[in-house]
Amino acid sequence: MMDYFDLIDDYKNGLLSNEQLVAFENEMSKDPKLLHAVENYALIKNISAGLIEDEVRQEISKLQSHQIPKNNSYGKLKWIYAIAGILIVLIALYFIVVKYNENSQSEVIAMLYQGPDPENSRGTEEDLNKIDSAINYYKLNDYDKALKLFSQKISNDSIAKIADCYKAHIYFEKEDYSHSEKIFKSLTQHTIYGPSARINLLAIYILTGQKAKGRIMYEDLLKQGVLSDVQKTFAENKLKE
Amino acid sequence: MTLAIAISQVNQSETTRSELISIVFNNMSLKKAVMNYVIKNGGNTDDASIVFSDMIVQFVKTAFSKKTRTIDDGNLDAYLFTIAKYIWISEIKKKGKENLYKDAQLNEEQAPSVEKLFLNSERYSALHNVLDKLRNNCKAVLMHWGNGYSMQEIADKLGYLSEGMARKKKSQCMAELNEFLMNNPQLKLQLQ
Repeated sequence: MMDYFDLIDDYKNGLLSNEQLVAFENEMSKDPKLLHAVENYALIKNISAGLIEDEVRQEISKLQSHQIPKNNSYGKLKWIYAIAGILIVLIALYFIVVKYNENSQSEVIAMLYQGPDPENSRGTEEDLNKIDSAINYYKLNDYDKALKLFSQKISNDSIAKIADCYKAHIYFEKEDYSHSEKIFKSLTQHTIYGPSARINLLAIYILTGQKAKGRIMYEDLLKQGVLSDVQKTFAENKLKE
Repeated sequence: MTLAIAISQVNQSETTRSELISIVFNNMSLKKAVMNYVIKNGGNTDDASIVFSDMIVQFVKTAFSKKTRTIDDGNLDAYLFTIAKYIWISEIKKKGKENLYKDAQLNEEQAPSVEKLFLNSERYSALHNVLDKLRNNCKAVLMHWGNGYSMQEIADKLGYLSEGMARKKKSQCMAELNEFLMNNPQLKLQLQ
């Protein structure tokens, strides 16, 4: 028996032969389900396309639920303290945003900043252990401990470069742009870390108002074709301001 | 992370998609940037967290769709931030609060090419009623079909032995969804 539901796509796209078309329309006049499917084809397709949204939203709500503390045995007072604390933080944040965020610092970071993405390297077990622990501290945002480990003597050159790369990112995160700039500069000629170091230097020059250096770096990056269109427009606007 | 890597993670499998969503969700510098942007332009923290979630949904939907996958390569964070800006500007326009909007940088030409979102809160709960009724694997087949994948691609991605088997599964699932909508006109109305 013919599966007419299988032919709906072709019917809607005008791909049925004359014979198939006659048979399909004949069947549609007899089968209210088939008629309904044809009449509601766009809706069925939209619902199907929307299933990916459902999947993503479920993932996000799972992640959000992990962020909410599971232990709800706090007393009322603790809630009041917590709310008061949040309010103080929000008010402080508001003033920080209004007063100090004139140069859209976070926007520059979102648009240009390239996070660390170093390659795996070979080295002595001691060096590798050291670097692994340091990266873990970095991921946990414990920058002081990470910095201490990254600053220890490392015998292998490629691992030392990974450490330098992370140190530059830590100083960047700590908004110590002069240290970060110095290390990123030392990485600009490196085959792996060079391109992102140069983009991060551009971000630092914009953030610190060093427009002349920024323009030189921007031209250099344009020649290498490493900036996306959105990044180009953004950097151009920022350097013109 | 580059856009190309993120797009390939979206399309590889449900597991890699889930990993990518988790990475983006936990990207604190991006979250901070979106928060600041929304608050600076007339929104509050609730608005900012909705924009942040919608940004992830819209990116995954766009990267998954065969119709609109025209994103250039580049930096993922920068692209996501542009999506967030676009979502907030559209929201402000919907609410008629353009006067609160201080940042006029994103004009029409810079608007990212993204898939429109289908699921608002009302449709979201209606869709869950539908999903509960669908047979196993229907979700994956319909999701790929709805986003423009060919039957051969669906067979390859979901492990059907032939294109014919994928077609058969799709028409069974479509028939089920159709019948459910026929029998539940109220839900159909909500989803329209």
